Amino acid sequence: MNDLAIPDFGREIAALLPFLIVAGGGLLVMVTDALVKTLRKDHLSYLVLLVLLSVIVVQTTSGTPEGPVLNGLLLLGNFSRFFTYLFVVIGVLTTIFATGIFDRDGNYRPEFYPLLLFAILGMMVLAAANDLLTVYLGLETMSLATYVLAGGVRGNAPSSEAGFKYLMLGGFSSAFFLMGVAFVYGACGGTGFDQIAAALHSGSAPMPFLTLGTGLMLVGFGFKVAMVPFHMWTPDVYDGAPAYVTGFMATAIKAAGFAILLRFVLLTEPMLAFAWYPVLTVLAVLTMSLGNIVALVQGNIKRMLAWSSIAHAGYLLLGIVAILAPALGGPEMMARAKGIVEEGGAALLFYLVGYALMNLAAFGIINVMGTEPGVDGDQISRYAGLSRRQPVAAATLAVAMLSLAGIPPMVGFMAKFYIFSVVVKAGLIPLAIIGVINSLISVYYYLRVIVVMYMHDTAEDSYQGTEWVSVAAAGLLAFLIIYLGVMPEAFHRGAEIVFRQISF
Amino acid sequence: MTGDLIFILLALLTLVPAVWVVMSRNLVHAGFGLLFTLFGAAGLYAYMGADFIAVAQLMVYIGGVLVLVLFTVMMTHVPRSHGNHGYDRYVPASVFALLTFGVLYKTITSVNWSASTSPAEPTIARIGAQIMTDFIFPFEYVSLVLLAAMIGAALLTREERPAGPANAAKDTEVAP
Amino acid sequence: MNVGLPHFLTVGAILFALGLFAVMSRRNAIGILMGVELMLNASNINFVAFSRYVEHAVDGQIMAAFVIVLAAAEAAVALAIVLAMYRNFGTANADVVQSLKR
Repeated sequence: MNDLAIPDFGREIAALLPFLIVAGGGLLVMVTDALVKTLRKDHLSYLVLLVLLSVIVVQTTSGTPEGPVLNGLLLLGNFSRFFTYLFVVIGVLTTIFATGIFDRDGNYRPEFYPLLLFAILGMMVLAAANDLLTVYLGLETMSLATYVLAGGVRGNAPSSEAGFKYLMLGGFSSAFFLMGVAFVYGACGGTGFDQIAAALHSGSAPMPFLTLGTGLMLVGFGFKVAMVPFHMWTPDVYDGAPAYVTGFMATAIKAAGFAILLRFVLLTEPMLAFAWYPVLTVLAVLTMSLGNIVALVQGNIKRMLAWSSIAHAGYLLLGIVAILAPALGGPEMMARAKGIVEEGGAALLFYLVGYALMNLAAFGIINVMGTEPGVDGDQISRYAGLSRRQPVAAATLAVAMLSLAGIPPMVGFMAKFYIFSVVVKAGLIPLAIIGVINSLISVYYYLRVIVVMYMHDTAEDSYQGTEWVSVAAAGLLAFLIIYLGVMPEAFHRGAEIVFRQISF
Repeated sequence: MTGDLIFILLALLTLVPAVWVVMSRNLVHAGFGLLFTLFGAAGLYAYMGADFIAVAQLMVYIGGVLVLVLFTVMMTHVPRSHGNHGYDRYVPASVFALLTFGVLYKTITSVNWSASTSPAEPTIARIGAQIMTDFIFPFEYVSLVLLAAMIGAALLTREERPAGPANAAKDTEVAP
Repeated sequence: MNVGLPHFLTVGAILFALGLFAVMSRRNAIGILMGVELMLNASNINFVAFSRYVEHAVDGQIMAAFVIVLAAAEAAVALAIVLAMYRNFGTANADVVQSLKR
């Protein structure tokens, strides 16, 4: 015990600056709220925006070191930086949307801001994790904060029901995840990704334990990304939570879940392909189809988007299946494998960004339109005639819906195009056909919203006010949706570079 | 042989009350079942030489979590209410539970481990050294998570002031 | 009998299955939570057992310690949510709380 190696944190502090800023920012916001008595309601939101913007500035200007830090617990580099940008941007928009609604519905809760920052911190840790211990820490931070965000509207029954349901299934999923980690740990003799990779390549690890462990972990991830047999919580939680939290969950948690799923899949690729490929394929198809079919009959726009987010998880899973496919193929497949894996990864990253843009635009408008969470203010019929009352909001929502449906000039089309073309390249043509049929089905329910907004007469009890900041932010997103849809190449190439860091 | 006997006793202490936790109609009884299960698990940790984990289990789980659980049971008036159980769900639940156990058990027995026979030795010193060096980041990080949990719990359980003119005066003071 | 790894893993497996059963069959929110706690304890038993019999390092025990800490944090939030739900619905019965099924 005499040779205590005191770690040298000089390099690592600089590398960890974005994490420290978010963590410190969370504390600062909380202390400010408690100590400064003369705060106006929107002052805290400015502080949060300042913290988030400084993360972007610090990360852009300082050349953060690449590679593993903190004894290999975290892996910093392009991949973690990419996701930090994504989470921070989602956080900025969520703050704007939330502050807009706080002004109106009187449900101001200052605790929202630090919890949002802690949730973002957990996601950043998750995307940078290089050890199953840090994966667990990130998952728990993200989940704990989100339970409260979803269920914390005081005196609001649907909100507390949503928080409760998310909590039950979240606790359930982390129990499965941990059991999986225990078996992988037992098989590989460590929880570090490097140790796991080494044990897998040497072939010394006992296969049954690995198969079981990775399977249990997939169950855990499945809950987080709303894969089909584990999707039960999604509609109720998305419906009951306030719209700004729903937008955050639909985009950031999905992105964080797929970030770690992607790393996990690449880490255990040969073994995972061998044991779980057929199961994942079936689940991907089921996830897409069930999501789209149930979304057809939803009258509530939040529930519809919840089922649509399940369907989109299915498209993303198709990308994962395509990445796994080459490991099973013959020798001529192996030669192309590297290309397929890289393209698949880039397609997934592109999809996550595009999905975040269009979903945030949609939830931004729903948030402005909504009354109380869970009260029937989110019926699609309430959007009748919106194009005449609020042309900008209607146009933004229309762009988001077209993009979600995958209509050509929007980013949603390019995202689906990249995924399906990788699926075809991996030789899985039937899967690509099922995917295309699914996105054709989905056009119906997305277009229905547009038809209601533009063709129907104004509903009588419709909301007449406007939050121009939220609408402007959502409008900016709509612009980005079209921009990335028209000129996707540069961004797609960037996604490929980002992905190359984690594909071994 | 004494070692085996102690193991069997500890395993029974863990598992028999766990059945009670799962089946009992009265949630207070289930909570006390949980007490014995957690105690048995602490015994198993100590048996494996993980004295630190055993103590942490006693202090955090039994001293903290269990007390919280029992308080919540009493605050939500459930002990006397009926319908805490879904007998109609016993069939699917037991099918799933047995299936899970079957898979786990089959996997456990399918691997032949070269049994380690080295005696268990205390690990507190090693854990302390490791937490302060290799695992310093998670160690600091969980304090933030605990803080987030604390804010969350405080936000959720804070008493609501009913809106109305009678309370208007109170509303002017800023809630901490 | 020579007590070794498989015995501890079997205890863990039984505990995990019991917890799963509780989560799926209980109607009361707190009952479900107790099931989750059983499952978490099952994985902790596995962590400590693997750390004792396979790895001969303390990584598994440290993992178990973090699991205990985070389980406590989760329990605190969970019970707070149950209390909030009880205030809004007048019950902690997960079946009664179904305002969102429309």
